[in-house]
Amino acid sequence: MNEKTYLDEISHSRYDFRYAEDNYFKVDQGLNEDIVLEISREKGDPDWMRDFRIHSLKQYHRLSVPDWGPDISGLHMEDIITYIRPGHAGMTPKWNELPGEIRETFERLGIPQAERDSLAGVGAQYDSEIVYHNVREEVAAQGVVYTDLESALHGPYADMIRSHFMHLVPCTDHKFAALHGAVWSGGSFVYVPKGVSVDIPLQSYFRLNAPGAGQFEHTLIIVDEGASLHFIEGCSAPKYNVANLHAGCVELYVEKNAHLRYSTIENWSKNMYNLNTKRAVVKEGGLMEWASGSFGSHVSYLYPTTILAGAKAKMTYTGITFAGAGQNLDTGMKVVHSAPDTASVIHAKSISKSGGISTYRSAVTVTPAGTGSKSTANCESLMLDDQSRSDTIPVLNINTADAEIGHEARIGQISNEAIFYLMSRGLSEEEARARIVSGFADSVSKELPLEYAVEMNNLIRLEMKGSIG
Amino acid sequence: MNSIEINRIPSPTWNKLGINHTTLSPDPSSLCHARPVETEGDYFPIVPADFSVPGSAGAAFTRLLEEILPKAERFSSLPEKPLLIRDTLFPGQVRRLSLRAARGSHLILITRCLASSSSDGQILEDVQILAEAASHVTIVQILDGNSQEKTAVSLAADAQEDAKIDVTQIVLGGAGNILGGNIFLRGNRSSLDAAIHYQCRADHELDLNWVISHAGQKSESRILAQGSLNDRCKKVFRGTIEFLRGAAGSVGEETEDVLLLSDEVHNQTVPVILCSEENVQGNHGASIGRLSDELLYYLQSRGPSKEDIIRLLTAARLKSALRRIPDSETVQWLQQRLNENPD
Repeated sequence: MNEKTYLDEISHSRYDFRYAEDNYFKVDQGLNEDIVLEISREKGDPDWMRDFRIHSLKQYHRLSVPDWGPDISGLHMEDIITYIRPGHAGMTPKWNELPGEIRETFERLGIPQAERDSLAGVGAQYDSEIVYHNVREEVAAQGVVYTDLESALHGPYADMIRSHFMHLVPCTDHKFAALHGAVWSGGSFVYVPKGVSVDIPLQSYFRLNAPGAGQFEHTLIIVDEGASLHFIEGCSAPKYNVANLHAGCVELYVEKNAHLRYSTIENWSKNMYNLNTKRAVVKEGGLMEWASGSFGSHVSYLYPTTILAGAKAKMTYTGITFAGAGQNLDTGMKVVHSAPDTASVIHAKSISKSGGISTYRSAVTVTPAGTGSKSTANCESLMLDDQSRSDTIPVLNINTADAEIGHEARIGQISNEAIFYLMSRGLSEEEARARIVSGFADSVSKELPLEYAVEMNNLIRLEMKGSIG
Repeated sequence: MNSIEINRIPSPTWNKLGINHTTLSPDPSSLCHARPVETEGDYFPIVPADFSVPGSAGAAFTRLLEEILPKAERFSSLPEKPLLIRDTLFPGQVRRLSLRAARGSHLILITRCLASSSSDGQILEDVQILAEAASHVTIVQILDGNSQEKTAVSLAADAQEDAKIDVTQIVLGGAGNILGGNIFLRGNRSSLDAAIHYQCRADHELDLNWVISHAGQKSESRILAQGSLNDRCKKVFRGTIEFLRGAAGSVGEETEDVLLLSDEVHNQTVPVILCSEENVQGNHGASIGRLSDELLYYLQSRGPSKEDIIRLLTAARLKSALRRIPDSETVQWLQQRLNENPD
């Protein structure tokens, strides 16, 4: 039997609500060695991590802000609170043990319901700390480890964390990777043992509640040989009239013949600077799939990177970016083919409206070792008015003859004929445009579990409200 | 003199890729004015001074040439009349050309930069062209030779209403060739048709920077970059199509086709579309790869060796540019050059 999905009337109130930070612990605004050491003490870091933070801080001061992307001169680190911890005692595996405002936050975001309906485990971060973490017993019984990163750092997986943490994204990579290395807090650690298939997804949700705060969570996932996992990342924040900062880091290790799908619905508030770094390394025969929807933030720099390091490793990237008023979203991807017979397939879409700026930026690199590699990229941009901007800046960087590389890009508008047709079937112009935009985004929503595809379409409908006139 | 950054892409990207610009280390003391150009047709030696489109190589390059040659050579065609300019440069020579295609005229500029190992030295040229309403400008630039020094040619053009600009660039050799075009389609229905054909081999480097700005309504651009890379050569192609607000109804299309013939080549391509106008169509397509095994097998079954096949295909790609050259003397020279020494 077919089931129809009825969507409730949607509004930004689902995401844009806030609570006071009574009894919260905060470090001072800004960034210096004292603040970094205070964070390290608060988190009970082992010595090597404390030293790593100080090393990262030095790199932060050495490195320059990018001179090629959106303007981030409105981000003042001296005003950012890099660590803020809710006042209650630690993390819990039970929603009803959370303080009222935090529990209510995640209930309004629908996370407990999603966990009951369709997830194998959930991690929920509120400001700088994970407050809830739980994994289904049957999944844990398979040997799957899903916990907060701090617990893993002190538990039986401490050596594994040390040998992987910021090895894929070194703190010297760029200024905001260095910042992350210095002040990171929260995030998740996932280990899927050899041959284990996690049939339903795990999800981490990141909520930044405090004005003027930064969130620097670290996600570390290792999918061992022949294993598979679908991991979902969601994020949101209430809107403030001061800048907030997100400089998280995601490191994904996909071992031989393993499979990892990493899906993101990003809906940060529109005062957020989203300077996130995501990187995966894929060994022989492995498959990395990215599905990404970027809707929020004031400025984004977001380019999930995949290193195809083993023969016949594969990567797919399906992403959509929707830039509305006041947004400058610079998104895309990077892939490095550094082993024989590797393959990548890229489908990127972007939509700009109401003065929003959307930039697709990518780099496909084939090293001399990447013989027999294939890459195809398809990039489409939709301009919904003449106040917006849409740019496409791909790089093809090829270092061997034995490679097949194809790239296509298109920029255009919604055809008047299509709108006219839909209006002749009884839709208003706004509804017609929203339907066409949803259809344009269809290739991304198809890559998401149903609930998240619905949320993405809700976000598109929300952004399309008032798009006429 | 210190090196200067030239051929800078308008929308830079990750610096680590080393693709945002290239550098030139000029030695002004070793450069001298090229011998006068040849002309066929009447002209005025006057061109309006208020040209505002920067050269494809960038402002630093233009300033450098202005220091070496304070005065540009100026040619203005007569309304509705043709004017042909043949321009040949040899190593150690520099030229600044400022041209105007008067309303309804056809201005043809044929430039040959002939580097050679026997007389080394850089070749530098800066060309500015104002294409007035309904004029037709044809530019052919041929870079050839085996010099170890760099050849850099900067081109800027401003196209007014209904002006049509055709550009053909042919790169046959040279250790370091830097060229491109910055074409501003200012007028309604102005158009650009550009074709770049190249072969690059040995340790040579080819650096291309093309920028097409659509400002006029229903303006059209088409750019094709096609060539082959062999041995340990490096090629960079920056191709930018920008639709400015108000360029409604404009169409821009960019195609790149690169044949890779050696595992040691380095190909970098940045096909950029910048768009501030809703009602436009911008397309880009790139195909980069080696000769297909099926095609190679078929051709080898007809007799020739793999080396001969590569030589034939490379020459065929270059010869496809011949039909775009409206000067029989140049076509004859180029045919002879390709027949005698296809490499």
